[in-house]
Amino acid sequence: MNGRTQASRTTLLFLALSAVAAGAMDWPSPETRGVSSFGQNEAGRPSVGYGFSGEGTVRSADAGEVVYARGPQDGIDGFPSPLGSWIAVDHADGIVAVYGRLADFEAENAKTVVEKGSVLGRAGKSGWTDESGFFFSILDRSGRKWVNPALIIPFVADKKPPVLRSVLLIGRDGIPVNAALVKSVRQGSYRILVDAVDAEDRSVAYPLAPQHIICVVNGSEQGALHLETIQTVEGALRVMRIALSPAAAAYEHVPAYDLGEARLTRGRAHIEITVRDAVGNERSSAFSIIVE
Amino acid sequence: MPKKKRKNWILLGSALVAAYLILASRPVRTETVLIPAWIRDLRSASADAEAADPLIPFRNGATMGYFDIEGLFSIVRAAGGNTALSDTAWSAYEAVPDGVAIFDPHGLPVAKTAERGYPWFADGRTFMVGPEQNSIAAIDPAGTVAWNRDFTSQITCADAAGGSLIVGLLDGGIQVLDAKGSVVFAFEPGGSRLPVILAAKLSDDGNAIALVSGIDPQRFLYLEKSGGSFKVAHHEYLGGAFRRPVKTAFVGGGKWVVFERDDSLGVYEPSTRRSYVLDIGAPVAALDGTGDDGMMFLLTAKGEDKALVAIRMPDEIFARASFRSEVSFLRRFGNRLFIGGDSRISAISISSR
Repeated sequence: MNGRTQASRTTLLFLALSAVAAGAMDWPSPETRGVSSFGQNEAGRPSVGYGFSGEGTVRSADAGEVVYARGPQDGIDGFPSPLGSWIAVDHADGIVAVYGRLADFEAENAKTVVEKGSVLGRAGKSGWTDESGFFFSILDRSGRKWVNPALIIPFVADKKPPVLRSVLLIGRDGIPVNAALVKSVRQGSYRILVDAVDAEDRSVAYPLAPQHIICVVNGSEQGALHLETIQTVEGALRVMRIALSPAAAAYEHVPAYDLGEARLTRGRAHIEITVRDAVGNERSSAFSIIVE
Repeated sequence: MPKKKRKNWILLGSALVAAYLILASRPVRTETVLIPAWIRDLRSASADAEAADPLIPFRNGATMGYFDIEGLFSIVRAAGGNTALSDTAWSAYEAVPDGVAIFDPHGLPVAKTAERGYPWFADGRTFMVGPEQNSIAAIDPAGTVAWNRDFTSQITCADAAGGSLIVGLLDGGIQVLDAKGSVVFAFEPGGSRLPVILAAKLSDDGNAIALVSGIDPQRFLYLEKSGGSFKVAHHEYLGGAFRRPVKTAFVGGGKWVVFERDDSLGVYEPSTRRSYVLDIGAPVAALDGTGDDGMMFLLTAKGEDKALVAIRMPDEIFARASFRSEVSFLRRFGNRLFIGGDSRISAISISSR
C-alpha cells in the first residue's frame, strides 16, 4: 500500500469513527430501496451516490444545517438540474450530504437547522429519474471527495456476498478472453475486467456495486478497485485502484470494472479475484491459466 | 447710497443671477414612457410562418415557444417537464433522455447529441450537465462532445459569456473555463462559516465576475480581470442568508451589477466602487439588464402578487405596476419589454420624450 493510499484510508477511518462517535448517521429513508450505489458503473462513469426507489419521507441522515436548496422554481438563466429538487445539508466536520430528486418543494420554505431524522422532503420524481425515489450522496468538503455512504452508514441487515459474474482478460490485441473458460494465454500484459454486483438483502432486484474488487496473481496484488471515495483531480473523476486512477479507464467497459493491468509471465498463473461489499461479505474465485 | 455704488450692486446682483442660471441650470429630464404594444393569448396562439427574426424565447407556465417583435409565434407548444430554451436553440427532452435533439427557434433540427445529461444553452453554445450534476460537457455544432469536465462537488450555479464558462460549486469554489474547457481561474471566496456558491455570473465580455457566496456571513463579490487572472475589486457583506440560487445580472454591458437581497435589490457600480440598496418590497422573480440605456426591469413575486419594477440605474425606481398571476416571465429586446403572466404575453414599447 503506497503512502497516498495509507493517508486516504486514515482519513476514511477518521470519518467513519467521527460518524460513530457522533451517534452515526442513518439512511435517509428506510421505506425505499437502493437501486444504484456509490461507484456503480453508470454508462462509463462512477456514480457518486446512492439512488433509492420508492415513496415516503426523506429524512436528514444526521443533525445539520441546510446550505443549499433548489426547488423547481429556482432555476436561473435556464441552468438545468439533473438533481431535480435538491437539498444540501452540512452535517459538520466538513461533511455535506446531498438529498436529490425529491418531490418538488419551495426552497424558501426549506428548514434551516435540522435534527437527525427531520423530514427534508418526500421521495419524488424530479430530475434524472423515471421512477419515484431520491438520490443521496456524501461530500467530504475539506477532503474534496465523495465518500461512499455505506462506509459511514452500514447496511446492517446485509448478509449476502457479492456475485462475481465474469472475469475477462484483455491483451494488447484487444480481444477479451474469459478467465473461467480459457486454458492458456500468451505471455504479456492483460487488463483485468471484472463484472461483479452486490445484491444486499432488501434489494435483490437491483444489483449494486461492490465496495472492493481485488485481483491477486501468483500471490501478488496486480489489480484492484476500492470504492470508498471518488474525487476529481484536474477536471476528471478518479477512483482508487492500486493507486488513484482516472475513472474513465476503470469504467470504460460497461458494466464491468477495469482493475488495471496485470503482467502474466511464462508458467502457470494463479489468478484470484475477491469481491467484498460494504459490510465485509466476500466472494472469491480462482482461475489457473497456463501462460505460454 | 451714491448712484455709482447702487449701480455696482445692481451689476453684482445681475452677475450672480446670470452665474446661477448658467451654473445651476439642468436640462429638462427626459421622461420614460411605457406604451402597451400588443397582447397575445397563449390559449389561442398558433405558429405563424411569417414570424421573423429576431425571435424571443418564452416559457410561461406550461407553454413555451418563440415570438417575434410583432407578436407572431414561430413555435408555441406545451412545455412538458423538461425544456431547455435560449435565443438560439431549444430542446424538449425526457427525464432520462436517450439522446437529446436540438432545434432552432424556427423549429428546424440543428443537432442531436448522445451525450448523457441535460442540455443547457448559453452564450450561443450548447452544454450538457451530467446526470449527477458534477460535470459539464461542451457540445459542438455537430452534436459531438468538444470537451468534458468533472468538478469537485455538485454544481450549484453556472453562467457562460464572452466565450468563457463559470461554474459555482457546493464546496464553495468557482472555476472559470475557457472555450476549450481549460480552467483559467479557480477561486474560493471563503470567509464564511459555511462555504457555498449561490450565484456566479460573468459580464458579457467575460472580463468581470459577480458572486454571492457563503452563509454566515453571506457576501457579494465583484472580481475584475487582471492580466491572465481575476482579482477581487469589491466585496460586501449581505445582511440575509439565502440558501438557494440567488438572481444576479450585469446591467448595461457591465456598468452595474444587480443582485438579490432580502426583499431588496443590491446594485454595485464598478466605475465608482459605490453600492446601493433599492427597496423593491418583495423577492425578485426575474431580472433583465440587457438594455444599454441605463434602465433595467425586474419582476417581483409574493405568491400570485407580482409587480413590474422599472429602475433608472443605479438607484431610482421610476415605475412600479402590480398584477396578479400564477406564473410570469420578463424579457427585454431593444426598446420592447415583454411580460408574461398566466396565459398572456404583453409587449410594451419603451420610449423617451
